[in-house]
Amino acid sequence: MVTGLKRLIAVAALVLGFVSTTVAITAAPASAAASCNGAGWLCFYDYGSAQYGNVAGDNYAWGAFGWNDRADWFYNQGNYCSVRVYRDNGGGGGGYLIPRGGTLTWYNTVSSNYWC
Amino acid sequence: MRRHIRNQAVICVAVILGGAAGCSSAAPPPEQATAASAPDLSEGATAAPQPFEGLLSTAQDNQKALHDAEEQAVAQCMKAQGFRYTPQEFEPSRQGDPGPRPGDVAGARTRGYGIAESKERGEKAVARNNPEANPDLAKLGPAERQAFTAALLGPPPSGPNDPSRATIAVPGGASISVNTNGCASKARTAVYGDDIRWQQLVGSVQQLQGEVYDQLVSDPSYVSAVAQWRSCMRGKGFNYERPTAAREVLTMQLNSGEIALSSLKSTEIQVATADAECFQAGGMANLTAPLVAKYEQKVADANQGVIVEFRELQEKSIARARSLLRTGSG
Repeated sequence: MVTGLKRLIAVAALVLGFVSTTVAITAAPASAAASCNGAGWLCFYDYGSAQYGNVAGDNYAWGAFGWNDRADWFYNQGNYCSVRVYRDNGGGGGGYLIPRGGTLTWYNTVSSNYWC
Repeated sequence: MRRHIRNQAVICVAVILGGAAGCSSAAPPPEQATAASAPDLSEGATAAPQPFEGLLSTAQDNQKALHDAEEQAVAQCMKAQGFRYTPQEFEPSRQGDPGPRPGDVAGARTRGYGIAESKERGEKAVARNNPEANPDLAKLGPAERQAFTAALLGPPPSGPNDPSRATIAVPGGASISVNTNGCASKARTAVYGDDIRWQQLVGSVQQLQGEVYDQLVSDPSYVSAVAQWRSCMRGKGFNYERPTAAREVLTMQLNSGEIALSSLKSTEIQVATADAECFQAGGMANLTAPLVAKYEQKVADANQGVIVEFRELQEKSIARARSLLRTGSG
C-alpha cells in the first residue's frame, strides 16, 4: 500500500438500536483527518489492524459491532459533549473521560461509551 | 461540556459492581434469600457506593458554575475567531449516567436498568452532535464547518502519534492528549487554570477509582455475595451469572429487535427490581459499603498527593468559575 493512499475497502453502517456507528476498514493507517468522520463523532483506531471506526451515540457493548477490547486510540470530535469510555459493557469497570478535542490512548480495553 | 466536574468526579458512575464479570461461584451453597424491605425508598438510597464519591463530588451549584463558566469562555474564544457558538445550558440530567446503580431498589422500580432512557439519551447525543441539527453549524458550508471544528477543538491530530499535541500520561498505562490551541482547551484553562494538569489529575483519579473497583470485585467475600445474589435471582425466576448481566442481555435483545422498546420498560423494571432486591437481600449491600471504604482507604493512602491536588484545584476552579461568571470574562 502506498503511504498516504487510503483505500476504502468497506464501510459498514451499523444501526443497532440506539447505536450510531460506522466502521471504516482501511488497508493501511491513514491520517485521522481523513479517516475520522468529523464533527460530532468519537473516532477510534486499532493499531493491530490499522483500522478506524466512529461512533456518534451511546454504545452499551462495542462487541455488537466487532470492537470489544480492540480500539487503542480515541479522538473526541464532539462539538458539545465530552465522552466517557469504559472497560466493561454498560459503563462498567472504570474508564476515562475524553474532553472535547482530546484523545485517549488505551490499548484493547474499551467496551462501552457514553456522551456528556 | 456538560456536568464537567461531576462527570470527572464520579466517572465510575455505575461502575462499582457493574462489571463484576468473572465472579465465580466458589462460595458455599447460598441460602435462599428473600426480598428486602427497604424503609427508605428514595432513589439511590439503597444503591451501592461509588469509589471516592463523597471525597471528590461537588454540589450541583458548583457543577453549574464550572459548566457555565467554561461555556462562556468557549463562546468568547469562538467569537474572537469569527464564529457564533451558543453556550450549552447546564442540565442536571442523567446524561452520562448509565442507569441506577446496583442495589438501588427505588431507582430500579422507576427506571429499570435505565436501558430505555439510555436509548433516548443516546439519540439526543447523536442529535446534539449532528452538525445538521446544530444552529451554529447548520448554515455553514463544509469548509466553514471544518474551520468551526478546528477553532473549537484545535486542528485535528495527524494520527495517533501526532507530536504537536500535549500528551499526558496517566496511571494505568493510558495517556490523554489535548490541542491547547482549540477554544475548548483554552476555556478549560480559563476555568481550571491549566488544562493539561487538570486532565492529568482527572485521569489519575479515574484510574484510582478503577483500582478500588478491581480490588472490590476480587475480594473473596464479595465473590461469595455474588453467589448469594445469583441464588436469590433464581428464586425469583431469573437466571443470571452476576449483577448487570440481565441488563446486558436486555440491551442485546433490544438491539437485535428481539424485544421492542415499547415493551422493554416494563420488562426491565421487573428484572431490575428483582436484581436490586436480591442485591439487598443477599448481603451484597451490607458488604459493599465497608469493602469500598476499605479499598478506598488503601488506594488513598498510596495516592494522597493526587487526591489532595485534585481537591485543591477543584476548589480553586469553582472560585475562578464564579469570578468569570460575575465579570462575564473568559
